[in-house]
Amino acid sequence: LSARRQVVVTGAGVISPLADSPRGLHKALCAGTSGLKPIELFSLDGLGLDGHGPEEAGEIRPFEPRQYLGERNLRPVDRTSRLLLAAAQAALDESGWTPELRSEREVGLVLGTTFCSVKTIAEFDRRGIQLGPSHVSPLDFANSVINAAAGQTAIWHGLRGVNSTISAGEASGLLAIASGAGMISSGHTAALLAAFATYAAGFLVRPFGALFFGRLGDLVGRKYTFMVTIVVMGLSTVLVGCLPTYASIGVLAPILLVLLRLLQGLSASGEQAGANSMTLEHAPDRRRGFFTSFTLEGTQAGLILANLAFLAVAALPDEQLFSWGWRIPFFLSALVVAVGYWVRRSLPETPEFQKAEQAHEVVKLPVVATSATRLSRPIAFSAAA
Amino acid sequence: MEPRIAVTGLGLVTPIGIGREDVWNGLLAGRSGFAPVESFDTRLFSVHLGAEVRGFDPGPYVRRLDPAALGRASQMAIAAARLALADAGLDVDLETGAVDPERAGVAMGTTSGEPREVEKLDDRILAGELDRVGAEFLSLYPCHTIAAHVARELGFAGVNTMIPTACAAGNYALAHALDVLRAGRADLMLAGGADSFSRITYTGFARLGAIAPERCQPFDRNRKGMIPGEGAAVLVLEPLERALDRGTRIYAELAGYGLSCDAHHMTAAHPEADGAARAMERALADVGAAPEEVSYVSAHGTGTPTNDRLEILAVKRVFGAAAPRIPMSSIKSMIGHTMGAASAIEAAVCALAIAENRIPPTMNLEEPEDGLDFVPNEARDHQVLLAMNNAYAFGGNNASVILRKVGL
Repeated sequence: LSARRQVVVTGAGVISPLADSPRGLHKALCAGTSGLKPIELFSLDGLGLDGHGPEEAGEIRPFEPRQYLGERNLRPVDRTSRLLLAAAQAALDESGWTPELRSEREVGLVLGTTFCSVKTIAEFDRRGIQLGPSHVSPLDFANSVINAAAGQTAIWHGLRGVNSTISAGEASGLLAIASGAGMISSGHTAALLAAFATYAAGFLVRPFGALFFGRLGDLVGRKYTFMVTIVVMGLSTVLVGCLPTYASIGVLAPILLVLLRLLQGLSASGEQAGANSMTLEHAPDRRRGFFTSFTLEGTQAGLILANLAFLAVAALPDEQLFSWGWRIPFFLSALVVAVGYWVRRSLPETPEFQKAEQAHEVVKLPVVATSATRLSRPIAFSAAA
Repeated sequence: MEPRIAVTGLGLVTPIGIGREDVWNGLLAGRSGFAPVESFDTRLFSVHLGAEVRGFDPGPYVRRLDPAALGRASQMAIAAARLALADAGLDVDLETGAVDPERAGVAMGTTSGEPREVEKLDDRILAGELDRVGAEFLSLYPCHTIAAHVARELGFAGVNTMIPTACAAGNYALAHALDVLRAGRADLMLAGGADSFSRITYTGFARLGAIAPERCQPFDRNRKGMIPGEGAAVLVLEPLERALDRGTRIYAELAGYGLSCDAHHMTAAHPEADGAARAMERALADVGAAPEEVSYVSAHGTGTPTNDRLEILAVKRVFGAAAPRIPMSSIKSMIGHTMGAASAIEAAVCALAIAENRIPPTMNLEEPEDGLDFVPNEARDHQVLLAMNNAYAFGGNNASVILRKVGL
């Protein structure tokens, strides 16, 4: 576990004097375009340059923040923050970190800056001197700290993870990227990534579960397999609710969790395969499609039930929710499983299987006997379920 | 296995004294650093108190560079760095070559960098003397020059990082230095924070109505606000094994940290102190400790009505039933709010609390808020095994750092 995590780049946003996208910037750079323009953001009068100083600079012009940020109130954020907000919006869009995802998982931000909002800072100071301390704006004061743009961006985009600002002159941006990568690889976002891996593991094994239990159904019968899958699925779910915490058994806790999720995923897809054949083979010939559609309805209804159960415990105060509340829905699944088991016990074996068994037609490797086009469907279906 | 990191030296420049011993004795005695502001005219303000470092002379500390070519925060940072190295018994080693300069780095935090340079610029502009602004503004003002100046003064050629995350910056710098050392990218890190007393900062907090008129009373029901201050602190950090090898005094282990962001409001904390609580929980997880194992909490404790209320809420959420048993004090009741230096100074105080088994008090506490032990008005003997240092900043930046007694 001490191995450092690899870090990948999944999105980028650029607001620059040349272009407002990474591709646009790359294209302009390769074409040798200059981003220098006559200085318009402030006057050079009074600097005593007398025409000997620079008259051009890399101003970003035109910059229309609304084009990137929509109609939200921009008054609290100054130019520096607006530039960062627009670039961050593009990077988040490209990488697929939607607002919903960001509210569930913590996304951090490390900003590199030399001056941040030196214009805001100086204007705030001068206003205080000219008009008196009671005439300055609290909004401007908020933007006068050097981490203002990072804080504003966290608020605007809902970034609740690590939030840092790094200053190293012209090397600030590079150091910020290095620091952000370090935070991820050193595990200061461990909970986030680990949770993601656990959730995914259960889904990744589903095609294999469908194949395994599908074959088992062909070999030993639909009904028997259907009983096995519900018991395995039920037990693995209830056992997740009984898991000791990381604090009490250390790294064994996440390992057990992943194992149980694997078992759960395997049996869940087996359930789907079993339910399909059970229903299909019990249904009247002309209404097979209609009846079989209820298996998917069942899965969706189960998802809704599960979410309702979690909604109910999520109302608990955090302390209770995280110490014991989260276990309740897992325990409650035992009820559903018990009902399912009781119903299935009285189910007869399907007529199709009985006929096949009597005719000694039970195929040893049904998967091989199925054409490739037909095989691809259950996999796609199982993976989506 | 990642190396454990030891705190072996402390350098402090504060409104109540300079140097570890002076500051520590002052804190235990409840010394106050508040006086009418001298750096600028406060006649137009309705408040007048500040916590300035009076009579600070950079001369004895700034030896290689020209003190006049440095901003005040850089001067104080260099003083704190020199003091910390001497405290760690390393000032001689610099000359003897025992410290490899390329493996020695600096990480500093700040709120405003060198705001006085902007103030001087503004004075020029208002006086119509823009043409008299010299090129030195560019070497004096950008805040990364604080860490750069410390490195230049000491010849430290390793990692050099400036982290301007406002009032939590000291803790951020410590967290960064801890990562650098854990990853083996340096053998020695100086980490801390520095800020100079500033007209801009004072104006802003006055406008927010956050400055107390007479005294700073963290966690008192009648608290009226914070009092801005200035200062610097530097901690010498090195791998525990190296520290044990050279047989130096070890104050504590820098055991871990947790960072989070409110993502709620620039200057106001989250109404349920969500981010503050998450930072504490992260820090505990990083250290692998249960909340009830913490024996001292060094509070952010600014003394503003909102901060203290929310900090109490967060501590109760994280520590649960153990909260009333864990002493928590705020030294801002004595040295004011030293901005980017604050959490670095408080981390040094945590290291001392662990080494000395003494906890500095929260002063001016007459009617304490309910439910927690704020160590009112008198220092206390208390065995400190695990100390948590909390800091919260503009931008919703929260940082908790945990120090641990070595040998645990």
